[in-house]
Amino acid sequence: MHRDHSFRLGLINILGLIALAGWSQTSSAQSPRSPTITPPAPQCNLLHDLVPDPADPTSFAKDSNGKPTLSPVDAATKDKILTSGLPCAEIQSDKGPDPAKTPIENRQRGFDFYSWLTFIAMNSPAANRKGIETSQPDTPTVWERVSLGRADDDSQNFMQLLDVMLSKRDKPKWGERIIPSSCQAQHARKPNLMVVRMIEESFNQPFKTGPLIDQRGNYAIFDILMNKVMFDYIVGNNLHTQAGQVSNKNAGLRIDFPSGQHEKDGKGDPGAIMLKVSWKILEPEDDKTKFHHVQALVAMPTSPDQQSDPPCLEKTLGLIGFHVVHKTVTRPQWIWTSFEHVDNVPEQKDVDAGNLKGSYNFYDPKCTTDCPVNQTPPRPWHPEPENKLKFRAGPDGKVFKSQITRVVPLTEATKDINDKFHSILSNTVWKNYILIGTQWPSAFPCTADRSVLPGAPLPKTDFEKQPDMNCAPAPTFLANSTLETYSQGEVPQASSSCMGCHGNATSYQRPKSPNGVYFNQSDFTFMLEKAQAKAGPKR
Amino acid sequence: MSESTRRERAKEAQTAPEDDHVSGRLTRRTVLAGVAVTTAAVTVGVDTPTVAQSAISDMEAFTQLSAALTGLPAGKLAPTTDSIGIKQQYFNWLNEKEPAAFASLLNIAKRRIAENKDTAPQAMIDELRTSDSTNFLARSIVLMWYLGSWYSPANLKRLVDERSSRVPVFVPHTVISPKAYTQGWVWRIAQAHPMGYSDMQFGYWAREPAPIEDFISRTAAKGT
Repeated sequence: MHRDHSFRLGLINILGLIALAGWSQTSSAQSPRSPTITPPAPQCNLLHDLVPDPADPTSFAKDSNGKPTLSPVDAATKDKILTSGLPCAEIQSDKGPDPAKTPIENRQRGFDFYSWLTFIAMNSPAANRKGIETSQPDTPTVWERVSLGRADDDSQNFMQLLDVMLSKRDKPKWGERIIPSSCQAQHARKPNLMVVRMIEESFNQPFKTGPLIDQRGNYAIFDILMNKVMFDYIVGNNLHTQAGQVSNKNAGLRIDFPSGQHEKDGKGDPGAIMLKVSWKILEPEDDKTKFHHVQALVAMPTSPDQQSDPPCLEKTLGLIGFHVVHKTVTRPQWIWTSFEHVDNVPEQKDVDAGNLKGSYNFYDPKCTTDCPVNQTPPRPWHPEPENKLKFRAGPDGKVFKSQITRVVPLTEATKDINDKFHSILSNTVWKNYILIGTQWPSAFPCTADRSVLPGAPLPKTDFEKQPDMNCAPAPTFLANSTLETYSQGEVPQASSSCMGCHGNATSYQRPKSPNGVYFNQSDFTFMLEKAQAKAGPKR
Repeated sequence: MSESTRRERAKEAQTAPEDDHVSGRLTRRTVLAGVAVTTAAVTVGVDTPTVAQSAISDMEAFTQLSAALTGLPAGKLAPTTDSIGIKQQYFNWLNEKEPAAFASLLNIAKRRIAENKDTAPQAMIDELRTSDSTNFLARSIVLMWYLGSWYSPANLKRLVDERSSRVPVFVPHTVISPKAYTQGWVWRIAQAHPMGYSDMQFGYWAREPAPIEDFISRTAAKGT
């Protein structure tokens, strides 16, 4: 492995920044050692779906009938919305102007508005965070900055999970990429290419339900990233190695990532944010202008015989799916936002009605026989080096192509908010992305639970989160057609629920004594399960 | 609004509209006593409601009736911000299966609430017992909320009518929906969860269960 030193920020600077920001750790085994890292405070985006009260932008104004008014999303407000930045937390209400809307519908609109603001902030140009209108399809975004070798010390950047969960004892450094040996020569020539490593999670869907194969026979590729707040918490608590997680020092750690929050004046911090994205390999026949895309080096897995070097393939990757998961002070179960490319799949009801586009990324409208929908490919599923990133051909010489439909249609309210935001993004590639939905915990007494433990950090989370870990997710189910392809639907425990699944995430932590009680919940992230190094970290 | 400062938000969260439950501490004993009351009596007589109570919606009447029958807080059965929506599913089911008897029950509930909201729960129960049609449908509703399954009033009546039969009476039932299966209150009262579905935290089995109030009646955040 080769460390990418194009990143200018050194460890000393990071530590200095942390020290300035007031890193604090408690020594109590029962209290979490939560590094209260405050990154350079951004101006939090306080826009929301209701016209705000001039005296309090986090609240809403009432009209002469005592009702709130919806915030307009149109040409007149475009500049303000597109340059408003990242929300540090959601702002929503059960109130709305339409008396026919239920409280949950009003709140959902608020969360969906938050999701669009977040999407815009994340996908604004890395070099000009207020300039999404100037974006070209290949303009590097805020969240890609580190991955594309252009990192700096900005807390809004993101790092790929495999650059944090290192295979050796080294402590990861913010902004430092790990380049697989097979890609090093190409990386040396083109240091600003994204690097994606094809581990199982890069091609296999959750619960190992299978890969997704596009209409050109290529694997869809998945990647996971975290922001600096998450990185600092993981590394600060020595959770980036299995050895660190199982250490006695961490036996009593109750994992609690920092929450996003804001004040009325917009001061605050974003808290922990994680991303999961999906890519489609763009071929010459694809219209690149319809996708946000990056040039990437894709490191194939080593061949099963371990004899030959795996190829490192330079590919153009088009963004097709985008999850944002954000922990906020009032949503300790996190807020789960999901976007995807508008041409991914048709809704099943559109298939039934014959209301189809000419082509899709993962559905062939011309295939009318022997094309069962939402089926996994035939096994074996792993990519083979000799096939590059094409799925292997069957005995008949044909390459399997996924025939995917969206099982649960978008709500009319979601379509409405998509139309509004598309109207202000019409000159950009981002008009080709749709919000699928936002899942949020809706049982307020449950989400407001606070720890009874003395000395627990703010926000004082009820770590045991009993008896309801998830606090009534709304909507109950949410699936992205490229990231939860094979678990779409509305069957409890079988269909995709962001919180329902991630609420079961654990770490490698274990109690100090054999008879001690295990408490290894990992605060809704599976990232910690990807820790590799079993030896202790280098001192 | 739910957002301002952290402290304000925490305070708001404790008093958010979803928390608008019927107050009062419930214990397993009181809940089960409520069930017993609703399932104990068999009486006769039909009382056709004649008073219009237009101010109370059918859903509100159903919610209050369900709370009276089950002993569970109306705010828990039908939270203001309701992501599950099981009440609507049950309402629709009853409308489809037993429209006439259900209308009678709703009329009883509306009238009693209009008369006196405080005494309405017991007054509803007393009145619905006076007719087989409402009495046995009330039992079906109790079982619906507790088990997520449908036991028809006719079969429940048969269970009573044939109680001296030497052959055990089999009462068929239908799980109303996958969602209903997960929402049966019996599991929460047992401080447990249905087989194959749990909202509890991974590893909960190694710890003492949370107090029953946390499962069925808590209206404020813990530790505040």
